[in-house]
Amino acid sequence: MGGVALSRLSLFLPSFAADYSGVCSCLFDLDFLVVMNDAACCTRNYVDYDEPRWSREKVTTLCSQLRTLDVVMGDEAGTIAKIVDAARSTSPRGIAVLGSPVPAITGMDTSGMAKEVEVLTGIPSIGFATTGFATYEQGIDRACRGLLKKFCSSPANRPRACRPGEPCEGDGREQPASPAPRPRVNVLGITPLDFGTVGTEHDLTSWLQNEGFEVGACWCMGFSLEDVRQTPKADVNLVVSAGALKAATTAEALFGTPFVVGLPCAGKQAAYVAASLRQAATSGSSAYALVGSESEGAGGNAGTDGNVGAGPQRANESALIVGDWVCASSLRSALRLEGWPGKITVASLFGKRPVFAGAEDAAIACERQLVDLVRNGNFSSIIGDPLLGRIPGARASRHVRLAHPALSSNLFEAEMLRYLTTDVSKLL
Amino acid sequence: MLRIAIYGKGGIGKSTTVSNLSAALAQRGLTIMQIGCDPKADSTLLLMHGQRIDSVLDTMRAHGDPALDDVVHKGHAGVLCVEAGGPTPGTGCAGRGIITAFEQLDELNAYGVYRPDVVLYDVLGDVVCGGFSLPLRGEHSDIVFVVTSGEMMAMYAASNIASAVERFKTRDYAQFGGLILNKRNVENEDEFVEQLARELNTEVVGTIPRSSDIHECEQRQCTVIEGAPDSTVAHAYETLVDAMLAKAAALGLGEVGSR
Repeated sequence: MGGVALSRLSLFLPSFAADYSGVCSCLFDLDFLVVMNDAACCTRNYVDYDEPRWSREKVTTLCSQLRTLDVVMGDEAGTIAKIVDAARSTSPRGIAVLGSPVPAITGMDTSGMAKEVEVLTGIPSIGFATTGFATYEQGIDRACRGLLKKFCSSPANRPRACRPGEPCEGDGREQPASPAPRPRVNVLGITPLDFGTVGTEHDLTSWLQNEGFEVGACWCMGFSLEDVRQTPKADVNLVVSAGALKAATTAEALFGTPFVVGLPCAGKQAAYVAASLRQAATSGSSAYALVGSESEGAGGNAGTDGNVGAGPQRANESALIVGDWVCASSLRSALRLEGWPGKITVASLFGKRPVFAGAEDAAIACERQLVDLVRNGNFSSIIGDPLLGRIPGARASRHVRLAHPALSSNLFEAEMLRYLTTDVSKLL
Repeated sequence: MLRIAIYGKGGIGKSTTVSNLSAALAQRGLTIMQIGCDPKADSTLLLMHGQRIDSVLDTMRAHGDPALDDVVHKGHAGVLCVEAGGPTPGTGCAGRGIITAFEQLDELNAYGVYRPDVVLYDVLGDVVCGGFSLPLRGEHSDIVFVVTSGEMMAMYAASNIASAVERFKTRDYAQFGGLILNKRNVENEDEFVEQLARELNTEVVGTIPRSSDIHECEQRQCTVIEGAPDSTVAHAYETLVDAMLAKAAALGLGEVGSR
């Protein structure tokens, strides 16, 4: 076996939630019949490990139970017949046909199957060419964009949110002096795979309402198919995880909805996100509500009070945050805005470097790279999933445990961070 | 953008036909991308004047995450040449190879960056498995043509491909555009292929005569459009291009020149 193959070996971390689990998680609330084209094991990954809501709520999932000859002979008709039968007995509002490793190898056409199923059942159906080779955020991405394209149409003459007394863009109408308009905001990218089931979606919607926003659809927890259809009516989309980044740009291209990337964390980061949302809603321009991606510690970052134990001795400290790109970058932004003076590096095991990444931030392609980063980084603190404590060299750093279910399933549900109710300045 | 898939039995002359079509279209000022879907990775040899280009799969294996410039090469008349590539004969899975190469081209946003007016897929042989049917799918192709001669096995393969397109009609796959007769000068060849077209409820959109000019230009590693532009067979390719574009337009498919 060559070195390339061994470099992908994971010795300390488990396998991550796969793309099909990301799709399933996104569709969970929408009364879909989710069809997993697999022998059964991928279905079990989804229902037993990756989706904590599965055991608490009833959701219709069909495992096609592929067998060797089904795959070798390309028996898609048999699977389609099973789907049609299941749809007739469960009457779902939508049907999703997913792939898994073996269908991916043989080129099973999930989109084509979904089109046939839609013709046969009359139920809106979407195929997702998931493979199990990719990680969950790519599934969230596929699902979000698939839903946008399937169920959303551009609203005619959507008026832009405007300030009192100013004419509104698009219709030339004069906004009454009072009450002040409430920009409508969709939340994009909240799933249990990043945020668990500790109530972060409720924290976010309450926070938006308290900030004076009207809450649109909360993708992908606590929303309905009707909310999905209303998505284009929003003035701005708030992206809270990397899985929704492309969906936000798609919505911007299709409906002209600007987006703000940034997870609000209690304190100044939340205020920064709120201000960015207001700005985007009125200007129509997208923005990244993230600070602190510069390679050196900000120290005296403008607008910070430096109340996180800031002092000369802490300026030499450094922290590594490992997690979803948006969550981890938002946490860094929060720490920076609260005045933490040391250097903060963000690393993610999931997805390519986004445009808002800092020069020293790292997209980790395999466990070996994470081991090297931890060993060579001399970080005083590591913020990340409890399982990261297994990484060689991690014990030399203080480990701030922040559960990431896509990595550790529901093992550490109690250690999920509620970003809007936790004083992040106390993390380090 | 118009996306055309060209299928046909192995050895029937697909790559020669597709390369000449690409050259003819490019000389009309259009931006053309030709994607070879054959593990041999030799579809674009005539456009590249005999120079082999690195295939998408070989580049992925060597570099992991290739850039678009690594896999797209400019050939004669600016045709954008791509070879999907595939495994060593007797190993691996050629069908999965095509899927992987297409995924990589999507990932690199090849069409968005180069914005071709016409994409031509040169697909190996018959629709033998899911991978080789990929270029037929609606997200990749608008229209499919099949190259055949009057030989029985070539017509049998053409019939299979037409059946596959018909079978997947409810899936919004590419529409069947018709047959391209690449003559081998077998007895009653025109009648045989016309008969096949009638049975498949389609038409023969063009005929390429058997010509020594093709062989001579291949020896010089160029298309007849480039090497023998005034030849009868070059005119036949030009006529074929007109017929294919007219067929696509009649079906209301991707307008050439629209981006």
